[in-house]
Amino acid sequence: MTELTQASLVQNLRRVCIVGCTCLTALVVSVGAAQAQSSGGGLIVLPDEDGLDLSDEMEFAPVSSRILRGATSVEDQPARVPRLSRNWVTPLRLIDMDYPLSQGIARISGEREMVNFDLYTTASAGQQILQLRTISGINNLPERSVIRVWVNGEEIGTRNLVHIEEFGTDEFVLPPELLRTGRNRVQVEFRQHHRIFCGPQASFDIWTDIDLSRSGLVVERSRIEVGIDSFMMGLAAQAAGVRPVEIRGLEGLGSEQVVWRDYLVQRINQVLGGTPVAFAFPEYWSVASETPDLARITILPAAESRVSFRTGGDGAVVMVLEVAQGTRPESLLAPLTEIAAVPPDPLPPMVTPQQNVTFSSFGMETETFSQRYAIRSYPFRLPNDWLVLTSAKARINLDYAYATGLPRNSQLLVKVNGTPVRLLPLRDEGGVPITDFPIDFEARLMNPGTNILAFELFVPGNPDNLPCPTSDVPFLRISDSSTLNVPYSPSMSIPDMDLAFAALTPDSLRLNEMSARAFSATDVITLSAAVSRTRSKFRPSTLHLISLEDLGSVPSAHHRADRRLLEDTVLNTERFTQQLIASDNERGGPDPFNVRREEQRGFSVALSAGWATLSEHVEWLVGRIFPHNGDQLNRWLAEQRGQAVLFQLDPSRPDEIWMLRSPDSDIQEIAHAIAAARSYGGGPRGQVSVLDLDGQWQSWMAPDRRPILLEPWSRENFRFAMGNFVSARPIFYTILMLGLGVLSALVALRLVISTREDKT
Amino acid sequence: MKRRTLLTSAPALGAMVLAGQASGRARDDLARTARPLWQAWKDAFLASDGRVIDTLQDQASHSEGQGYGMVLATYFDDADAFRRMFQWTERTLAIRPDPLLAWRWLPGQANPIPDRNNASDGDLFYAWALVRAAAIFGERSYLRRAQEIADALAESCIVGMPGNPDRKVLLPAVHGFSHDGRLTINPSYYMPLAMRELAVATGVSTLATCAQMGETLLDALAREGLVPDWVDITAQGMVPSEMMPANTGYEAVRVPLFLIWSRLESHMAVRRMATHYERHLKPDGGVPMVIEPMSGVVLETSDDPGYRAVAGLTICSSARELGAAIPPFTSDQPYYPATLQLFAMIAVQEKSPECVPI
Repeated sequence: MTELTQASLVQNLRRVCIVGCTCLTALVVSVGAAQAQSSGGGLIVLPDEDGLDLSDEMEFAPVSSRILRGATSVEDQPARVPRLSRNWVTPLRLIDMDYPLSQGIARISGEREMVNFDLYTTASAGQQILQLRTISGINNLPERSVIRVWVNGEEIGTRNLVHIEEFGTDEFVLPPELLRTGRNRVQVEFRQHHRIFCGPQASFDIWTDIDLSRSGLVVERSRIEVGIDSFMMGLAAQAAGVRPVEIRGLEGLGSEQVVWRDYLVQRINQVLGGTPVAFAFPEYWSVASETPDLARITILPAAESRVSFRTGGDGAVVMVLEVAQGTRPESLLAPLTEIAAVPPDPLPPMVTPQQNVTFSSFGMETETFSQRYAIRSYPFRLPNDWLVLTSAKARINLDYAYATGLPRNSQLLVKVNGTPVRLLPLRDEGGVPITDFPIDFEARLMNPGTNILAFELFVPGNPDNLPCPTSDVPFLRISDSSTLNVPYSPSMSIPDMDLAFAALTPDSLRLNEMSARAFSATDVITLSAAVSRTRSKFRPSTLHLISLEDLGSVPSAHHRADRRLLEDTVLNTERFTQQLIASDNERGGPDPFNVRREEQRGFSVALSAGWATLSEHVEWLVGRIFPHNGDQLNRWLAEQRGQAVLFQLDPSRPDEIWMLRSPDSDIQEIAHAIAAARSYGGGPRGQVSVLDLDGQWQSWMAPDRRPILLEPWSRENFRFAMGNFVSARPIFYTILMLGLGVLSALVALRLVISTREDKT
Repeated sequence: MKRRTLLTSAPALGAMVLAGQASGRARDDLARTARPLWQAWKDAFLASDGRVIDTLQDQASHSEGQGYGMVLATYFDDADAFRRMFQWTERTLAIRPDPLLAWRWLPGQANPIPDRNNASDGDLFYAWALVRAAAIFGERSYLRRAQEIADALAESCIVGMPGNPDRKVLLPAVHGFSHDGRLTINPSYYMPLAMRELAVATGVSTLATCAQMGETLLDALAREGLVPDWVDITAQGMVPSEMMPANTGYEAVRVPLFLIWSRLESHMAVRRMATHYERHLKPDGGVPMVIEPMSGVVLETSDDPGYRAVAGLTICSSARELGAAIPPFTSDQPYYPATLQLFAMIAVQEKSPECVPI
């Protein structure tokens, strides 16, 4: 330490004197005034001094007792959550959305499954460890259940599935230069064996859960170079966990915040693919969560717009958007090709009618099955104006082979859109290729848009009460040279929500003044993310988000949906009932409104049952002749329970869908189901569709819906179009033709009689 | 029951109201947007009777903690919390024959206040909080108590420098820091904004003068290196403290924070510390907390977000950039860094709004 120099001391003293005098002058005035008026102040009472009884003799400790800070080392403090992420796990991002996914954990069931993931990383990360965090069911036999892992096509190792009671981690060392900056492809094959039984049933009982938020590449934080690549890596990691991605500072953009919010939400969802990304929009100042952020976006109002990537105080890689007024998001982010230029998700391949289309041309490779139970689904598309309601046949010419000596009752089930169309016993002719095996099925099982062809294999155990023998010998092979032939259809359509559903975009969401009762702003953004990967652009569509109180606003045309049954569909779910019970318990008694509701519901069900019993036969007959869909819809609704309901009851508004949700539903699960349906088919169809509690869409199609011909009548299309019209309402047209026949007969009879009358 | 009657000082209160209006908008913003942070702080460190608990120091309480907590309460418009802290402090620490507070209260001891010395920074923040509360909560009675403390501080803790009695310095306490022609001071006890606002409200101009000289003193220290926790002043000048730690440590972390809060972000002490932070702060490492002031060698680091918040604010303010690397608040850290983190937030909100956390 050095002394102050004399010169600086004098200089400083001068400055102090000047400032001090000025302050003193001001303060003297102030104090004088204060004292002058203090007598007018009120009397106040101070707290009691009864806390301590100390002697007046002053006691002083050595001043060294003042050394407080840092006297206790950090190690002496109680264990706390980690402040910063020393290591990241840039996680696997599940691409195959047909596996159940909840809270960042995917469940893989069955004997042998190949699961595809994306993995984002940077060239600078320098890491070489891939970790998988799994837990397997108690039925798995660890000695023979394994996972095999490929990264960018190269196999990197195999591990036994030994983590049975709690999650455990397996590590794989990656060869140098294997990873590339950006998106990498990871495939994990799960081979699982039942420890006691063998066969399809045993196959259902074996599973492994993979914790996606903690499975992936282990990256040392210090080796991550902050930039767009590490930002994307962190974003993917953040999105894979259960934590939403934060966008801070939107409020500062004022009226422009909605434009920015929608743009960022859509872009990030398009870039990342897979399960929709959840977002949160916190203030700048926030309380830390249990898990530190890995990446986020922060918006700062500024004089000039620019983008930078920086490290946040919590170690997150932050995309800092300095935004000047009037800046459009697309113009600011245009130079970031990783975000700005995103190709849309590929649609399932189109199958052209009246041609033998090979399986290979719609994405299927020759598939080999060596498990006792397996189901493989292949989405394909038909033209949006394709419609066959007649009994016209489509044909699969299947090229396949199966092993000799398969157990009895081994079989292959062929399904189209979930409906079995052929059961092929796997016996006798095993060991030889079977080519062009014809499987005819009714073409009306297929829909315009996305369809799913599925193969389901069952091979019983032999014996079935012992673990399956270890064998890689395939049971079945289906060749990609197999073909599908779809019959011709004139350009037609029929009222159905599937096309409007496929055409949904973030701009499609519509809210009214009551929507907020059922959908928060964050819910809307999550749904917007789910439909951000545009599936179809043939026409704009609309998704109205409505609350239960607003059911009356749904146009129902001639359909008569019972409002109470509709409410029950989303209200009377197990989850919601449990919530009500829990809240009843908390309050110490049942909710009187709920009791009344239950009474009403019981009365309603009893009345419906009685009415159904009395009129069942009559209804059936009348219903067959004049399809009267209201009662059918209500009967169907009475059996449905789900998280959300979509409606499209008014055929005059084919581009609009109305959505209702259960109060206890998880918007993330709904968003996941929507995104999955738009990617893999199996989505909502018909006039009413319920997303059940298992995440599957259950749809009701009105029996009286009428097809529409979208092209002029011609000699070529007459028979097919007429066939569709008649097939849509067969009894009606039969009676109509019968009536015309009778009328013709009567006219003819009248003519005969009239010509034979005596005219004299 | 002993009661005191006090007279309020209306014109000074009026001055504080005007001053309060200047920061009113920032305070409203804080009360609205950062309420969860304040609640988390209270849940972790404020007992129901109004005692602010230093969890790391054997659950002790200090006049400093009471003063800090009460200042925070004024920024978060929390009159109830303020009143409870005030009452506990008056009941427990106001036991000296002068208006100053005993500096520490130790729970679970036969004599919870074994040392009846005061701490001038605790007294300063306590009086400043009272001045602010008088203006914000409309409780005029608080001002007279602040007046007493300001008078006592000026009389007992502000003394002339050895060899230059005209230059006033702030002693850390009434007793124990002046001996053999040598004064031991703590540079982080200087909070220019608090000293000036207290001076204006109470008319104790010595505080404002002392604040001005303190800035000069800090400037001189920073020209030689990082500002240390403690320093001795002799007739020959400033030298490393003989009886107290002379490193830049957990005390001195407040120096740049208080200067920025006082709108002195260009001060040499801020720039010096910012440069050090920029050089040594790593995304996955701790914040340098104990540093050899001349060489800059880091002797100890800390993971606590509060210190990282101060570091982030210091860098941002010094560089005049947009956005600061300030972590989210957590009460899962000791009382001291948690409190500094809230102070950093207030400093940003009031004086450096461009340094919001990224």
